Amino acid sequence: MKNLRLICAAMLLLGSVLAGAARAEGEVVLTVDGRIAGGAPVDFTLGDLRALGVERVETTTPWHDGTMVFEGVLLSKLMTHVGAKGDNLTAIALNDFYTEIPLSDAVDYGVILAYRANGADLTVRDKGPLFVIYPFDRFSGLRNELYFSRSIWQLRRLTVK
Amino acid sequence: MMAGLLRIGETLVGKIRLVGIMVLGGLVLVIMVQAEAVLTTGEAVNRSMRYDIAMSGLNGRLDAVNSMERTARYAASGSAEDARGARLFHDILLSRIDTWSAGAFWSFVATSPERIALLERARAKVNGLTPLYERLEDPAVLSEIRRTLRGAVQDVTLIGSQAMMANLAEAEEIRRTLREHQQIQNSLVTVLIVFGAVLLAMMSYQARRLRLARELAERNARKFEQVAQRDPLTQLANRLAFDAALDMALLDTRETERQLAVYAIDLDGFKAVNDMLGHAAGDSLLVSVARRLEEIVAGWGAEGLVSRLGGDEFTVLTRVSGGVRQAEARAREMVDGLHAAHGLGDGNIVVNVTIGFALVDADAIDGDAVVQNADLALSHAKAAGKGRAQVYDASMREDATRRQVIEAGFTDALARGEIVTHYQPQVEMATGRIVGFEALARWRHAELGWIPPGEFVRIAEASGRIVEIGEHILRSACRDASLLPQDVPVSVNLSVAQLARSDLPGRVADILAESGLAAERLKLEVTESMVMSDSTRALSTMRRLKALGVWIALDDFGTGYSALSYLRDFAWDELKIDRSFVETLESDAQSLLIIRSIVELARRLSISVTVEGVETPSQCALLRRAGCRIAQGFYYGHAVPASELPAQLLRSFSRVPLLEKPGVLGKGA
Repeated sequence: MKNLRLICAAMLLLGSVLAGAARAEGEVVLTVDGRIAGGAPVDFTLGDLRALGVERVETTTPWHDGTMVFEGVLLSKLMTHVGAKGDNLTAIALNDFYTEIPLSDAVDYGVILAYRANGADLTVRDKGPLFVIYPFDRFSGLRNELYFSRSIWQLRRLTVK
Repeated sequence: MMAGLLRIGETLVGKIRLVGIMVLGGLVLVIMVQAEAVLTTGEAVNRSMRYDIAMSGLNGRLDAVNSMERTARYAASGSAEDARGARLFHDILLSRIDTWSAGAFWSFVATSPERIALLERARAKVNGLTPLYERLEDPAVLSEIRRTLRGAVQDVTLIGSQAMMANLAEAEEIRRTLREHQQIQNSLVTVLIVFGAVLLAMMSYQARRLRLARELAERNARKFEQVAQRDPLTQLANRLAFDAALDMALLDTRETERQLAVYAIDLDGFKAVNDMLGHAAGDSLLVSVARRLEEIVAGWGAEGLVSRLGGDEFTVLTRVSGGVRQAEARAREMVDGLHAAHGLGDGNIVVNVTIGFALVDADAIDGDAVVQNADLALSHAKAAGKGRAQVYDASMREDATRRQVIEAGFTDALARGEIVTHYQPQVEMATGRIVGFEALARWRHAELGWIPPGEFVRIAEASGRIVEIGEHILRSACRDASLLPQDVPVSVNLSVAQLARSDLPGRVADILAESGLAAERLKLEVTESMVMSDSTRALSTMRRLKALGVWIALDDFGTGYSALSYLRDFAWDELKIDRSFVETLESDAQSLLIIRSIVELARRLSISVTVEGVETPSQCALLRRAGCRIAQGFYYGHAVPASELPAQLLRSFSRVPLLEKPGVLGKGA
């Protein structure tokens, strides 16, 4: 009985692990709401974001040693996809960190929502699953605190205003 | 004083220049400092914009506290939702520690070994929690997690606080730098304002100096203009001012009633005043004349300009409404007015003036012509005698033209032999015999015909050609005389210019040698005035001539000063009594008396006497009675060419028996 329970527990654990892996693809990583087409919040899984096309940004950051290669979705493409009608985005992280990003940045600098860095998916520990990345190396004007503060990590929600 | 001011001015200019250079140098310095300040300010601003570790520090503390709070929440509820939250925030806290271990934050941590140790301890604690979070449901594990987290929170909080403090210090540093730069810039602005003020002051000073310099230049220009227009001695207008005034007056077309009159005024004998009383007296006289002329002209009304053209030449420019008559009256007024004695400090002096004047009419509308006319009139007035006024008339211009033609013709005349020598006989009245000839120059001009000797001789004297002409006459006279059949003497007039030349005796000796004429047969005639002008030299030359054996005659005796001292100072061979005495012989008893006295005087001094200008038999008779023996004049014959002389001589000698040798007769008994 005890064994059964153990087995059950082990199966449960395995199941939960398997489910976790499956959920990893199916899990909602981002919600976009506010002034978007239809008005209702739209959830995105990593798969949904990959479907919008992959953009690479190679840059150094204040938070990493050496040059990083990020892959992610173009913020501008995502905004077009949701039919954003505002000028500003409010970005909120998993730890409720809050910042604001002007929509013009998305177009002007090619900002991406990165989900991979140096060929590996970003985990929470790696500031994933989504990390707002500006191409700091391409535009020297971005190398200051204002844009660093807009580069929010562990992004969870975007609200169009 | 002027030089002193200039020196001060130069020193000031030098100082100003120095200040200017200093200000410019200062400006360059200011620009350099400003450029440096701008650079460092930019750097400070950039620094302030760099990644803000304070923010990361604060968020790290929040992550740690949140992690604590989530475990507490799970401990309270035990729900799966809160368990997931607790695990998520554990991941977030791990992520934060990773963040602090790389990039900019790590640079801050690495500055202190204690901080590195602190971070390592926190990392070890939080990492150590990861397997425990798998067993969150176990209350013992949970409480261990919460205990460990409390320690980790302390470490993380400490690092985060230090980051905030470091950031504050850096912000303060940046602010201080910016404040300093602001102060520097404030100082620079002050310096710039001061420099600007200095430059402005310099500019205004410079402008003031320029204005002063311009004013000085203008004042000087006015003064020079005045100087240029004034005769410095008399303060009268000078030639320049006179010409300008004349031109203005001629252009003044409003004046139609009154004629413009120009007077040329000359002081008679001014040279003598200068010579005898000195230049100071001469100058005083000129000033006195100037003042008196101004008084006289002022008496005519407002219009009238007195000017001094130089030397003793004055002009008066005025307008007359009464034509020549009024102009003449004014000329008289000036002659009379200036004749009154002039007080010269030491004493009084009386001078005569001679005036020539001309009126502007339709024929003479340019200034030069009017002045020339007045000058011509003045020349005529002088020629006619001093102390008079003469109006210009058109014939004077003809005279002047004729004079020019004559003057220009001398060279050709001498070359072509147009100037010839004629001879007038000198006759012994008692016998009618020719005892000598006077050589006289005659000129038959190619265009003008015979020119009166007095006219061309005067012109030749004025132009200096008289020396050549005189020598030409002397040479031909000697030659002609040497060819005569009788040994009669020949008289030749000397001019003052010839007498003034020290080589005259040598020339005469040469000519005598050339012609072969005996020196005793040549008489040279001089006038009293010629001797007077430079008597020492003239007498010396005459003595040298006399030493050659030549006779010396005193011509025109009885006119001029007739200073008897000349008779004492020189051994004259002959006196020639002036024709003016003979002319008045029959009308004036004094003339006869004078001639008689001269003859008596000459007899006693053993000087021969010849009377000139004898034209009538009665004159001849009177002169003979007065004791004269030898005469010359139309009564005895005109001047004739040399070719006629032998015949004349033969006639005269055949008419009367030859009693005495002519040479002896010439000398007188």
